[in-house]
Amino acid sequence: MSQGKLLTGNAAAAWGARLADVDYIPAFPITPQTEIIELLAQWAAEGEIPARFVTMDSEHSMLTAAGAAAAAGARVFTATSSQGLLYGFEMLYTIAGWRVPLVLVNVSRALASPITLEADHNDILAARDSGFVQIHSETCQEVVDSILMAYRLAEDQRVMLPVLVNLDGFTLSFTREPVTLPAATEVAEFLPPYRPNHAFIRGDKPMAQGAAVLGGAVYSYFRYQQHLAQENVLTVHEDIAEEFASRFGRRYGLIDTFQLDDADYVLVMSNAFASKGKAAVQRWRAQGVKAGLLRLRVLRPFPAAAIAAALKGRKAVAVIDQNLAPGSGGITYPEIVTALYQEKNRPPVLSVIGGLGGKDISAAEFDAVLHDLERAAAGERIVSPRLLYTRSEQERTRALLKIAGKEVTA
Amino acid sequence: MLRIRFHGRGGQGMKTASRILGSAAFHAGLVVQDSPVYGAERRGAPMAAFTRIAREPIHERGAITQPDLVVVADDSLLSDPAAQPLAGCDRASTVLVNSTKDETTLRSITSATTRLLVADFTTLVLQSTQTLASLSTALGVIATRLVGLTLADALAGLDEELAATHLAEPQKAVNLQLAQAAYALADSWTPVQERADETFTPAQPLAEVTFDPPRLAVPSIYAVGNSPERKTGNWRQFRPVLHPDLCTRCWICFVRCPEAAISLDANEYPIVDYDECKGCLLCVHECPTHAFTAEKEER
Repeated sequence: MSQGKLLTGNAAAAWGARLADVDYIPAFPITPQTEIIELLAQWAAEGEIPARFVTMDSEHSMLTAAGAAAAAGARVFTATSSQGLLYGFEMLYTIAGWRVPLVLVNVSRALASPITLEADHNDILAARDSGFVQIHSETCQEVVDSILMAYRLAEDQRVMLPVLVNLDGFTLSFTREPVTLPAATEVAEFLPPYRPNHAFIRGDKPMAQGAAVLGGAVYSYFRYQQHLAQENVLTVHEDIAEEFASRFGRRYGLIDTFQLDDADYVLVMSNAFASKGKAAVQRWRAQGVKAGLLRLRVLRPFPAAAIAAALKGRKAVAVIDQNLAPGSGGITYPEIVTALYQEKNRPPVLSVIGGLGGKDISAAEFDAVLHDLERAAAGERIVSPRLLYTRSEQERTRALLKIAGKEVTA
Repeated sequence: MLRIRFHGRGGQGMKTASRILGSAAFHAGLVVQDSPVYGAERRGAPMAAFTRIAREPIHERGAITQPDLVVVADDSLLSDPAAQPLAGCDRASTVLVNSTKDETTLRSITSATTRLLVADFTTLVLQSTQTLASLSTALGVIATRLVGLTLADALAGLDEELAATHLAEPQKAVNLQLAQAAYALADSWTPVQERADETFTPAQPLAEVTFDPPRLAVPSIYAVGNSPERKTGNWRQFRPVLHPDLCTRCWICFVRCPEAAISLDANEYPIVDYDECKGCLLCVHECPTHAFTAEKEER
């Protein structure tokens, strides 16, 4: 049953870049991404990969260099995480506006303050309006495969946008599981060398890039073009996924569905913790509950039609956001509700916040969500969002507050 | 599915032990997932690593909350609130402790009701390799034995991990010998069984989080200066011991100690604060006259 080799999510990301035969890797380390660039640095130093590997002085410089190299026609890979993504934030919008087809891996880690290392998705979702395409992966296998698909997507003339591929810190980045690496020769057929027909930075053919466009009309045109290119991803991705499946035997959709066909109750989740949701679904199925799971995979563009088609007519849906927009709630929840709004047969949709800062979501917490789903299906109004947090976790937090010198009452 | 949790301190090799087990099970054709959590990310600080072994794709992720087998790298972890190696153990769990103490003593420390296996792996490792670096080999292999895998699988798993190190061939050979000795040590122990049913600890009630005033809800620490209350002396595997007759009072150890655990006495000789000294042995390595030696900690 098992095959391939055991790889961490970080090693899988490095292998994705290696198999994509990238030309240039500007790098800056941050936990939990560091292992990716350590591996690539080692391979570059040992001559295993022909790429030029350069360490930069910050993520801002790293992304600027990545965008500039991609603009010159190089195939570029880079990776960051959390505070690093935010430190380079300005350049995300800038290089997406340049319409350069690089791939940036983000290893999700919750944002300060307070500072932590483990995963949630406030980092990657902060970049949701930057113009980058976003692919979120659940397994180490999907990390490799998504990077390969991401280059095809990014370099397609109907798209020509940078792509962010996300994997969770710790729960995927440091987790080994079986991965099948496609042969480099087969990847080369799927992903031929990048031959841009519009690359703009050439020594013998100067041109201006990123010029100022005052007055709004010209700006509106270019900005809206980014949106149209994003919308094209919805169809281009399906073409690429089909070809990928025929070559490598693994089919990835815009969304991933698990036991969804006849499901009454549906969990909507993303990234590595979706595996835990699948375990809960299996457990509930064994108890006779018709449950299923929808995993958000391509998040930008937002596949609203696919999501609405998958969720309409269910008894109840719970969106478990592993992120929190203070003052609003779960970030993907309103997008999913919007996608369903035009459907006549739309289910009640609950908002749940779980796994912040990498907090575990226990079987009991999943059971609490199912209980809410059943109540919602019976017409009860459920308070949203619900934060998944156990009594023992609350007690432990209170004990720590006390040690920190805070008077905690009851 | 079998769920195995390793507890150790940064530097004791428990991530590697968990990978030796993972690679061995993968070699045996099983589906494997392994991952570490580093906590404080410091040498000597408690850490844990998890290995899941199954015949079907594994849908679990992250920490193992209800283990079938727990491997504890040293018994000081048993009473460390930052480690809690016995958390989530039940009657179906087996706990293996590396210790010189006997089972009765460990039971009285832990009030453990699980199956408890005890052996002194430290001595075994030091006898064969003269360095504790191979504790990962011994405990990874013994775990492989305890989940019912063959010696050939264990050696294949170890071989894969050794290949990723920069060890010279003779050292690799020593590790392979140690692996055979460790595997044989468990001959009288019956392997851990998969749980007959996957019913887990009773449901935890959920808490409601309500508004707290800023004095509580802002992540500031008012009780400043309490770090010394966390004694890090139990992180030590080896203690630095001063031989004053060799000491020239150059103070290099005093300056270099990264924890400021070395002070000077009235005669300007260094004194080690063993409550705080983590046993990094920088002083032993830095001392130009070899006035410090490293002595194995006996607790």
